[in-house]
Amino acid sequence: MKLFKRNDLLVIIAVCVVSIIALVPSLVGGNNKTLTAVISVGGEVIERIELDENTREQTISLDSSPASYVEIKNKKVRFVNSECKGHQCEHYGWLEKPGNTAVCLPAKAVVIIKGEEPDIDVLAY
Amino acid sequence: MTENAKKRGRFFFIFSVVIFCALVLILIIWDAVKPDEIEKNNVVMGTYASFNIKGKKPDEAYSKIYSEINALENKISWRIESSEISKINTLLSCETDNYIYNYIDTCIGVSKSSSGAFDISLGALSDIWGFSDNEPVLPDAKSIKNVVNKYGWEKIVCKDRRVTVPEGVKLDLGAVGKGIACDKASSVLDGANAKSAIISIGGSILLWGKETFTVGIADPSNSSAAMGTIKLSDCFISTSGSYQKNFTDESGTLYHHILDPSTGYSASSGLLSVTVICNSGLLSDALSTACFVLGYENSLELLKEYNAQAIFITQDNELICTDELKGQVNIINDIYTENAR
Repeated sequence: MKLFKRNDLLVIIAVCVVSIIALVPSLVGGNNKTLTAVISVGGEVIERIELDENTREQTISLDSSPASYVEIKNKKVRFVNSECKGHQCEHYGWLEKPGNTAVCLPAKAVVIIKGEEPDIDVLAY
Repeated sequence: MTENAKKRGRFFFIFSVVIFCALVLILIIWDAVKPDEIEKNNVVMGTYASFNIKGKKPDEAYSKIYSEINALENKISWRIESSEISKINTLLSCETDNYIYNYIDTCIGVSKSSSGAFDISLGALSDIWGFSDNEPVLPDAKSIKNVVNKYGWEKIVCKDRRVTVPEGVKLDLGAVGKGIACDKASSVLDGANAKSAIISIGGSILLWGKETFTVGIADPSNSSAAMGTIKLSDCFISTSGSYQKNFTDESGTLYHHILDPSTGYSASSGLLSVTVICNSGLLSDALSTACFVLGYENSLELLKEYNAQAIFITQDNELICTDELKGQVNIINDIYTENAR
């Protein structure tokens, strides 16, 4: 007696292949190609904003002391009008590429652009 | 339906269920064994720090590292009145805890080996340059001369856990503070269920665990980008460069924060940056400063003594690596070339 007909075998192989393909993302992790501005205050991520054509222009008030503000426009992000001494955070200018980082030290606020899998794990500077 | 067709159908059903269960089991096991990963961006010791930790309960490891670093800052920052360093600077003689004593003693060792190119007694010099407050100014020559005559690592006396300095000497561990913080982080990770970690505190880096990472070497002409990359694991990395904390005067002369203790002015040894790789955060910080002041040729003995490797970038845009790193930097920005000497 034959356990499988040819068509049964094809169905079984197809099920296995589809299942393995479905498992791949959870085994190797996703690969986010969209740029995302990750905003942290005191080490905690408070906002993740995708930077694409549909992202609306906005200025976000961060819950920090001193007060700090982040502007998002044209797929870019920067600190603006922060109430820290020296306004060093504003000198970073617009961030638009993966890995670009701006920090407001007094407010303990960090903005970093995340994107495709980076070529570099860490920058020695 | 024939008997054979029924059997085939039942076998097909059981086979599918077994495959499905096996896949679910794989997912459950994978979820149980795969390391969790956290990435935190924060401000510690007055600088930007990133913490990327993989392993079991990485949040716990991060919290412990964060509190250890804050405790460290409270002990070694001259800005904090109650710190051990402030007490020494104020009282001029003070008993310290073992850790602080060892940090100072190790720093003095590097000072001695580098003929004073690295010196933790320069606090007053940094003050008059305004680098301590991130508001740099060019001091007049007389002020610099006055300060230069007062400091000097050989004037620091360490004995029986007591540190004594003469009046006019202000200890400043700022050049090694972030490296010591990386040492602290490494100790925490040693006792945690971590698998691997990258910790960067103001540019002082800890690569912890067996995983190999791609490290970018900052481009002196654009320090937010890399001029090249190198694969490294399980080490501490520190970079000193003239592209940070600098200013130009009216004549266009560039002044930067790495001060040459012998002159009191910004170090000028033909380098744009030095990246040091070794097995201690404190030492990688101290050695990168010392090597920047000494220049390539004069650094080689010092690096050998501490079993450290380094990547030098010269003002001619040449990359010079010590023996173990030769040919390992993948240059991205082609204005730089590796000198094979």
